[in-house]
Amino acid sequence: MWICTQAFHVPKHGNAAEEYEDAFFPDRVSQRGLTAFRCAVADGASESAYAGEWAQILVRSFGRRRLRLAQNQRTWQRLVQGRPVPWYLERKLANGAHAALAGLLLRDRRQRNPRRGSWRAVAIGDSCIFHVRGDELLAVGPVCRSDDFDNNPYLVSSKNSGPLRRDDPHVSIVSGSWRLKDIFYLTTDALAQWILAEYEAGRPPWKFLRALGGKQKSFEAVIEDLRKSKALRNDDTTLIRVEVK
Amino acid sequence: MPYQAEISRDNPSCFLFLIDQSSSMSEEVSAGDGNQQKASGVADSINRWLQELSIKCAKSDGVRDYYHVGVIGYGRSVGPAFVGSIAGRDMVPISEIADCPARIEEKTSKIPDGAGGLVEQTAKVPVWFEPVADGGTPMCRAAMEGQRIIQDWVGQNPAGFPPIVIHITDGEATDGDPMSRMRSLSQLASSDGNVMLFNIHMSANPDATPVSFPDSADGLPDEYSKMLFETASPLTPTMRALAKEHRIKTTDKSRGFVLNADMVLLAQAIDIGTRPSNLT
Repeated sequence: MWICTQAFHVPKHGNAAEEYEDAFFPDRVSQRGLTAFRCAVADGASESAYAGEWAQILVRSFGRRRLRLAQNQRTWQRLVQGRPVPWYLERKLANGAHAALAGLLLRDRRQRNPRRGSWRAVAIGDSCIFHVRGDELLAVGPVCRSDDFDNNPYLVSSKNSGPLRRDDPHVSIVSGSWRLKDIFYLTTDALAQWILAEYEAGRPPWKFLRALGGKQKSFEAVIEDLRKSKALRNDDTTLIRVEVK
Repeated sequence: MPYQAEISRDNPSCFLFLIDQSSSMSEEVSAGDGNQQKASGVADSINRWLQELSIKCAKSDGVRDYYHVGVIGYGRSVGPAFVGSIAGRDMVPISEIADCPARIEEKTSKIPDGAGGLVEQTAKVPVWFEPVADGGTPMCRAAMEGQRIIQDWVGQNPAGFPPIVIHITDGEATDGDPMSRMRSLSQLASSDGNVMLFNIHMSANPDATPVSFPDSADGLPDEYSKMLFETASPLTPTMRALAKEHRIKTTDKSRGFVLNADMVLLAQAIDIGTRPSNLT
């Protein structure tokens, strides 16, 4: 399996680059001969403290092996504890950090069919995964309509104990099969909502997303224009494009 | 569409409290699990609200100035009511408020331990505002002072989410008819809409029954209640949705007016008045 990926990201307008609280993994890959490939985006909740760090922990955990929530929570706890904090951070840290997560696992099935493989998507919250073949949207989730985004998605907490269970109603797990030249997009909520709105209006943005190539600057310019025209909410914005070649 | 401006550090919004500190605020009112002086209950509500707003705006690198807050008291005098190092200032960025409580008290309470028993929990309670009940009710002067502060603030932040003014009183103005002053205050506007004025009337009138966000002045017990209803701003759809969360019924003509608020309703009204904002 030959996988080519490219990640793009822009902080919320008005925020500094270091205040960006989405996360993605990996940054860029072009690798042949893979039997499995994992990638993820996460969106740290703006009302949490150390939410960007929590989002980073989640995408790296998912991308490198698999999500190990209890271990991830201990990592976050080690990161924030042991330093003196003002009164207002004490309770904030006690409440933990929260993040939406969307992860994708691609597997090669060459022994069965050289041009096909399987995929599995795991999502909690409102970061989304799109599976596109040519100009056709084959699958999208966990949010499927642009009107269905709200300000209170269920998020992964750095405080709740216990592993994520498959039967947890907040965990969305979907699987399918890919073919060569299929593309997957992983996005955080603002861009996912825009993509769905364009798609619902009969203007699927797939050509535009493909045409971004590998240029982060082009992505930044497009996002700025969309924000100015109010087509895109002002929020940290992240996209990973995954091509199966 | 008004009330759509995004609230950010570059484009903050503000809250102004106008607090009646006249001597009658020493009377007692129901506080859920007992009675409490009105002035103490109001001070507790405002301190708790300032604490929650500070925590809401806190990030790992400090508190972000999404809001500026002022608390003006009126009784023996009219003026800024913060205590501690921010005393004397009429509008203060939330980061400075968070960093400068006059003191931090520790309060213990018993909470369920999950195994049928109770366990003691200690919470830190910062204090910025003390209860005062002394003097008359110079509501006209308070409204004029509020107007001056909001006018200055809107001048500096012309595109901000409109200021929200929460006025808490138990009585009758002793310095004239405040109707026109209150109207002038609520007619101030940023480019995103008019100031939102909430009037919370902790009436001493024995005929007054509790009313939350009514849509007409019918049934209000006296001219003061009616004046406070008439000058309160209409609820926005977001505020109505929040009222519903608190199980309070409203209509599209409901106004930001509450009569005979006990301490529970006072906290609910402050929440409904101050939460609707595009803080992203």
